[in-house]
Amino acid sequence: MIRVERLSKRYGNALALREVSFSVERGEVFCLLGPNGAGKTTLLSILATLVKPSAGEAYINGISIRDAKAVRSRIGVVFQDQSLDLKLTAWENLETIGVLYGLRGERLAHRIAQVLELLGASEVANTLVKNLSGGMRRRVEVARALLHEPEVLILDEPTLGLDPKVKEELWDHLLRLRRRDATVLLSTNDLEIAEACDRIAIMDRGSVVAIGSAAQLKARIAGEVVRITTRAPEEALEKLRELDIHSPRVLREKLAFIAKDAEELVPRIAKLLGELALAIEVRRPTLADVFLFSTGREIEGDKGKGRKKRGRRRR
Amino acid sequence: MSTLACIFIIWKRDIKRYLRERSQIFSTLFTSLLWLVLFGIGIGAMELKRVDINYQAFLFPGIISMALLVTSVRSGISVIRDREFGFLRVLMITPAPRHALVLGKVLGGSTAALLQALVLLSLGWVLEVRVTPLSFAQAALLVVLTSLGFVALGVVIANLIDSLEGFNLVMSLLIMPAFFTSGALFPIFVLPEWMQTLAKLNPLSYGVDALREVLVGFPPSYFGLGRDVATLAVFTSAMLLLAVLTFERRS
Repeated sequence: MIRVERLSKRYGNALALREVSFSVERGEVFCLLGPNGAGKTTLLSILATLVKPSAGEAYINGISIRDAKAVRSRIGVVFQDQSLDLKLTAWENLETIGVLYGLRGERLAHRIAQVLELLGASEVANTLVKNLSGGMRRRVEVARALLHEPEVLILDEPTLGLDPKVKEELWDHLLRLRRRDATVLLSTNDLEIAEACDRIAIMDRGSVVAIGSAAQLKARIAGEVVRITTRAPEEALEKLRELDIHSPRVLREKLAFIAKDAEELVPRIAKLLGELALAIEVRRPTLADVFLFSTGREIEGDKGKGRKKRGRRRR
Repeated sequence: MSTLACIFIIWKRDIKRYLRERSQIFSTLFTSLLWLVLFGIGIGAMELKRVDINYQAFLFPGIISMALLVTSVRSGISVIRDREFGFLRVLMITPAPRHALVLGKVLGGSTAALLQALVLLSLGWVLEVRVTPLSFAQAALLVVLTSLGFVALGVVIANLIDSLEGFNLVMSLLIMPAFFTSGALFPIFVLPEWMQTLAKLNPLSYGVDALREVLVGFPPSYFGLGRDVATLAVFTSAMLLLAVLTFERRS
């Protein structure tokens, strides 16, 4: 349904996207996981026909994104930043955009009612958007993106800045789409969200570093993950040389590596490091670990990262 | 995809927003009344040697033009707001033709200017300006023709400038000089040569001249009604074209 082939985007001297390739099957919920600046938004903007790629190709249901007009009626997009008209009601917002997608009269009214219902936003149809909560605005935005029954739904950080309960609600609504056979492509730096998707492409610095289901990605790590908190990770690593450990990663005040049967290694690690180890943690691999061992860096997660506020207060 | 339906829905949205922004409507009307009443009475109280006219009646079409100018150019702000608030991006990913979006916006701004002008026109009787159904209709047409051009100009500025601050700066650099050299406050023929030249270069002068001709009828039209309408038509067409081109280039 979505095919991306060696897609690159250059802004001046900076390469925002480096030869990214992947494909998404019909009905899949596919997630781009990566920290801020990984190139997720650039990639989604190209697929949304807002930005032209510097090189490479991408197809939505076989149609090249260079044929912007044909692609536009086949995709629905929810942007990272709020994009509703605050001075209109939810219904009026949908009505305006619906007409621009070629919907009219009865059919338009029917679709608006349908998508608002689907997102559980029927009761706010006639409320001015400025009086809606952040979570409800998000739902109205998703509803708007679904109006013209797009084949592909593109969501850029749909849950960013939402509190956990609201996030869960929105996510339930999104998963309901899966049963409707819509293909969903979303970006996130939220591990929980990524975990719930069918497949994940991990992105870092403009490249895709790994693709697969959450289970497949974690299975690439052969063993458990050991994380040692220490003031001198280099020194600690030196002392552990004799052990059977893999892919050591030296981080700030932390040493991480992969080991088989790590639980049994813990006493030996403790003995070898002595005072050097402030804490030793052994765990089954998570997506954060997959990111760490594919890139050598920690994913930031979405802790304390509010949704970026754009623009100024409306008069 | 019907272009007309797209134009209409953008127009409808902008009109709704305009009508919901009461303070804006009120402030323009209030400013217009201040000029008409306080400024008009003050100047009118002086003995005007070379022009024997009822100054307030003379000022009336000028103030309508001022309200028109301000409301029109300011509607370009909505383009900048839409950009800042992300709504423009949503418009841009719809399959709707770009020129339909621009035309809808320009028509919306022009309608807002017309509504302001209609309110002011209905005050004509207070100033001893006899507004007949015919002159009312003629004035309304002139207001639409002129405001289309100035709304389009506002959209062009908005397409070339990113920030609200920048837009406001350009607007203030533009509006006052355009207002003062348009013949809105004083007849062009009494002005020194260099100011007359400025007046001739100012598209608003033709709007003021035409409005005064159909509403008040004195002093005699400086350019002639035919030349007024022709000039306005050229100005408005050029601005509409520029608005569409700059909008398409920006996206």
